[in-house]
Amino acid sequence: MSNSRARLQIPSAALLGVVALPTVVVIAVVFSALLHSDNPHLAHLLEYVLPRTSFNTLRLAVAVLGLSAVFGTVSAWLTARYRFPGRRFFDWALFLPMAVPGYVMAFSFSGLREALIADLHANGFSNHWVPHANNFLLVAMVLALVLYPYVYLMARSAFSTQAKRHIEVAESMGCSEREIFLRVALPIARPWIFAGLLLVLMETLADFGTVAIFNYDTFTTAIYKSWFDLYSVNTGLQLSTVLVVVVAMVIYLEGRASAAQRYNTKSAAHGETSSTRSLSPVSAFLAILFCSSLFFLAFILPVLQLGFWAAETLTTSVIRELTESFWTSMRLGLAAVLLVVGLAIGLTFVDRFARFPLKKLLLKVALLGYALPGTVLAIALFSAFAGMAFLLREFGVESRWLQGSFVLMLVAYMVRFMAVAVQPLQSNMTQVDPGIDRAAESLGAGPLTTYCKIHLPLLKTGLFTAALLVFVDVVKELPITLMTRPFGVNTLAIKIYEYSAEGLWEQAALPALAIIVLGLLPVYLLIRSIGNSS
Amino acid sequence: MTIQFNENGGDGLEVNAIDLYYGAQQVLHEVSFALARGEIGCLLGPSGCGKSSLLRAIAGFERPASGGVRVRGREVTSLSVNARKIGFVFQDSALFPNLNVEQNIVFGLRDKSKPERHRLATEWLQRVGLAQYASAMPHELSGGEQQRVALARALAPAPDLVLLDEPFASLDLQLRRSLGRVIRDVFADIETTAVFVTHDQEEAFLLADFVGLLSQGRLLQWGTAHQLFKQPACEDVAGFIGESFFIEGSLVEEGVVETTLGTIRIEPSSLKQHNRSLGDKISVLLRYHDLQLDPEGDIQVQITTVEDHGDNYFCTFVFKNGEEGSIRLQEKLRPGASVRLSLLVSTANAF
Repeated sequence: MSNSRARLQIPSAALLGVVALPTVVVIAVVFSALLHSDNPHLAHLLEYVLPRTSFNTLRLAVAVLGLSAVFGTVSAWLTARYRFPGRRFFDWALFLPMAVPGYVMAFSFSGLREALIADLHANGFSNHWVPHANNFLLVAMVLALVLYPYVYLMARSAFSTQAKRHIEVAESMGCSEREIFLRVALPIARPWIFAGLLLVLMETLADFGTVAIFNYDTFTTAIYKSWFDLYSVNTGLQLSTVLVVVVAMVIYLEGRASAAQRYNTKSAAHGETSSTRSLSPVSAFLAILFCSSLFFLAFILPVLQLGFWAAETLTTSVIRELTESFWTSMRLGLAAVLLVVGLAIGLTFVDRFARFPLKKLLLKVALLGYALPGTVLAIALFSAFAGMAFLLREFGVESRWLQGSFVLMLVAYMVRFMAVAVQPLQSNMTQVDPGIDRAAESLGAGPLTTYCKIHLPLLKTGLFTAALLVFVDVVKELPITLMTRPFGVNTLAIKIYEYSAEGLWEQAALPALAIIVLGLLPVYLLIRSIGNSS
Repeated sequence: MTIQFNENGGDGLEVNAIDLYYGAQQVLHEVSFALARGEIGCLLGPSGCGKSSLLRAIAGFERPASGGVRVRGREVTSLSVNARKIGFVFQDSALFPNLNVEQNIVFGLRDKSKPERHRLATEWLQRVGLAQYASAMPHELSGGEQQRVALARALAPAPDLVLLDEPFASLDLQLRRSLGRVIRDVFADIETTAVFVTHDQEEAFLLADFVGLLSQGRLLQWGTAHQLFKQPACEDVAGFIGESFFIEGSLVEEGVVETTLGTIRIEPSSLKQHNRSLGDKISVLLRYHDLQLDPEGDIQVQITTVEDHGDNYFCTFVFKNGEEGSIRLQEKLRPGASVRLSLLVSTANAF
């Protein structure tokens, strides 16, 4: 090992430690709350809150998983396998609902339902006939419409690449389409579909905005309420433990799914035009019906509805009211990009060049935050900051900057979105041949010089993607922003949440459209990268 | 283009004037050939020449814009893949990762009874020498073993035709040879027509009754290995099959060419299609063993490069007039050396 490399070990380890620290703190704070058995709300929590939120969260997770599995897998099979009018369009259009945040979809459906009920009443239908406010099914449907693209993405790639050869083998052996789907395509694509479903599950568990708008109580809303209604941070933290344990199980399953993927990938078909099969007119009609209904419900309908509402409220006073929160969103997004992407550049360097014990583990911890629900992060970091401020005051140190400032918010964003920034950089990095590092070393360049002169210029696209993803994610983010913002600070997401909580759908429409437009940028990048690779 | 039927006709496979497009790009131009039942054909050519596309078009994975395919006399052009009764072996084996070896092999035998399926699987596993691996999972097998299972899986349903797409490409040299022998023995045993694709002539000559050479989507020649070597249809075939070089000559009388090496007689078959008149410039094909080192020889050349190939030295040289050639020698010469050669053949191919 060269000298310059040895000198980098300590700063590298320190950087990684600093980034991983908040996540460790979050987990420690959450579980140490279990020691507070003197919580006066404990009995209430165990008797009422826990059973109800557990049941609600569980059945919601099951329903969302079921629906998005069907939506994602069927649409992926249809577009990957068959030729029918509109196939090329649906192929990319079915990704678009990814741009719609759950809470936006939620309030547009909520508003639609309200309008529908009013309409039915006006036409003399009694309450009896009105589709009863079945929140559960509606929440599940909304989340599935927003989240199915994860399954679609994974299943689509599995069907058109990993399982392609096997499908052809089965075809040459005389299998019917039904047999091919059930006996070959589905079993081989299972690890991918499963991985997509785990992402859906993670997002469902973390979702706050959708369930809050429908007043459907899950763990995230219960955590929020124990803090902001009961003023009991401990109750919130104790509820968080359950969520963190469940998330840990999901992460474990994810690891197993990706291991299964590796073992199924051996015979991926590469670099060929995918050959699709033609359909009978009836089947083609059914395929179009399925894809267009899904696309209509998940994208056209909410966007149209928002468009109508926004048009109604397009007055200068509304726009003036939104201008401030718009700029706050932009400033927050930019600050988060500078912090998170900056640190991600450092982590990528550490990942590539540094060698020290526990590196792999620390790196994993540093990227764990994406799996932790925003509500959990917010309440745990708040609690940690409060404890720290208390300690500092004991020692007579000024500590106001720790609380009610953007610092807490940015640290929470960092924990949540570090993986979002590091992933594109890492995947960009794998394309840089390790031989380059050795070549640079043999020419006398230290790791830092090599990284700055060779790797960073090569990582340009990765950096751009990372910055865009972090920016858009921060602007869309709701629970962390809502729970950690300094007093009086409003972002677009907060405005949407507040308006829709009061049933002011029309006012919420304009900022919601802005967020959808912004959200379309990373979706566009995703679609383009898929188009390039196939 | 006329279809070149071999002497047995085409009761195994008949490919007739296939045109195939990927989008606007034409990848196959009027490709035709035929095989009798039980014969093995090989499509040979550099990568990107369209040989895999041709195989996929025969299987039905790609739809030709025009032309037809008949398998054992049955027109299959308009049939979907699963109705063609054509087995396919891919270069990467594509075993079903969730099924064990025996389950993979019986996958195409759904219409058979359970004991019959088991019997056939056992029989096929023995044929490919993997009897002890019936319950192994694909990932537990080596690449060569996986490919043998894939072969057994494709052949077990007794298809009318088997297509093999570079079945050896992902294997190392040793495995290629042993798998080549397995395939040869298996096919000698059964009456199945087969077409395989490769870019390696040695493989083609080892296994195939007939070889087709493809270049840029066109079938340049279809014939036995001997025909391709001795009577190449055009310069491209001559250049691809075997080691060779060309020298320039001019036609002095019907079937005789004057070159820097003296007068050479031209194979009667090789100039037929060209309407040449006396005095025309003509390329004459020479193989490296058409010349020998000979102190008495009247061809003087200067050696330019020498490569040590272990059992011989491969040398390139220039003739007096600047034309280049190559030869394999038993003794080591120095680059720059002047040596004399003599011609061993009296007739050659010319274009």
